[in-house]
Amino acid sequence: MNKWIASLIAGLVLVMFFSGCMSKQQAANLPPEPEKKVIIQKVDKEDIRQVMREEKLLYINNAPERVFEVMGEGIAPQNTISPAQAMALAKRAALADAYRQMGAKLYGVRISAKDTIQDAALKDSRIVAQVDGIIKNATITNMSFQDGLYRVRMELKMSEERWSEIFSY
Amino acid sequence: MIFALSFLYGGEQFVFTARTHSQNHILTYDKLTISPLMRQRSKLENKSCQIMIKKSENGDTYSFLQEHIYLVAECFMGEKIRVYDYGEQSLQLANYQTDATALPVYFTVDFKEEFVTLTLLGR
Repeated sequence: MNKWIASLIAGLVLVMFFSGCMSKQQAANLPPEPEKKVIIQKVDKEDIRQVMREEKLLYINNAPERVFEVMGEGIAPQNTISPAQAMALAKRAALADAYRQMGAKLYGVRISAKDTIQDAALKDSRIVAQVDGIIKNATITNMSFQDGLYRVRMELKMSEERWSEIFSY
Repeated sequence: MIFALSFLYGGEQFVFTARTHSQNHILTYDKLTISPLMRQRSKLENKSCQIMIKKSENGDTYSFLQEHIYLVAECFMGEKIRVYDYGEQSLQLANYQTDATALPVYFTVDFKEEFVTLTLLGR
């Protein structure tokens, strides 16, 4: 009988020991756990890039910036009142042309073509080209006006990193 | 009414927009617009542009900007420009139309002795 009681007490002690059971007094003597602070930080693109760079998740390319260069051309209209006005209008047209070419370089050109054949002969052939895009940070590097034609040299500098960020589709 | 409202609420902050349409490299439509802002913006961007022209003493800012609108346009050439081009080519005809639109640019004007500074405002 004594054996039974002794083994029961020993079992209870073991259960208490492994279950981590302790008295309230013991718990009060323990040092208090540090209060968990929640830090809310606003993360923007630059932060993410920096983390990616630090963690070497991003391939760092030290190559210089890529430069996209185009030459826009504009013609002076014939119904102008002065050569100055003709030049100003030709310049505006040249700028629009430069933006178009830049858009074509950055975004590409959508081409659709249609050929009509009748009685085994080509009756009509039509090609439609479309450019649609938004250009930013373009600069004019050179411009000239000669023989009624205004030329504008436009360039846009962009790092490869930024290029892949915007156009990686 | 628009004039009265802009006079009452418009400050020294302005918005610039432009639209250019050309056909076969010849300009067919060109409109540049500068208007005072109704709602003032506080966020200044670290982008500015200088126009090397003195302001006349009796003229107001709006008239000055209207007078030199092409210089203002050149200042904002690097800002967002939406371009749409449509070109059609057939056996006997080629027709290319380009539409370039400068998206609204908000800016403020600061007059110095020898030049004028245009500082961009946040969107």
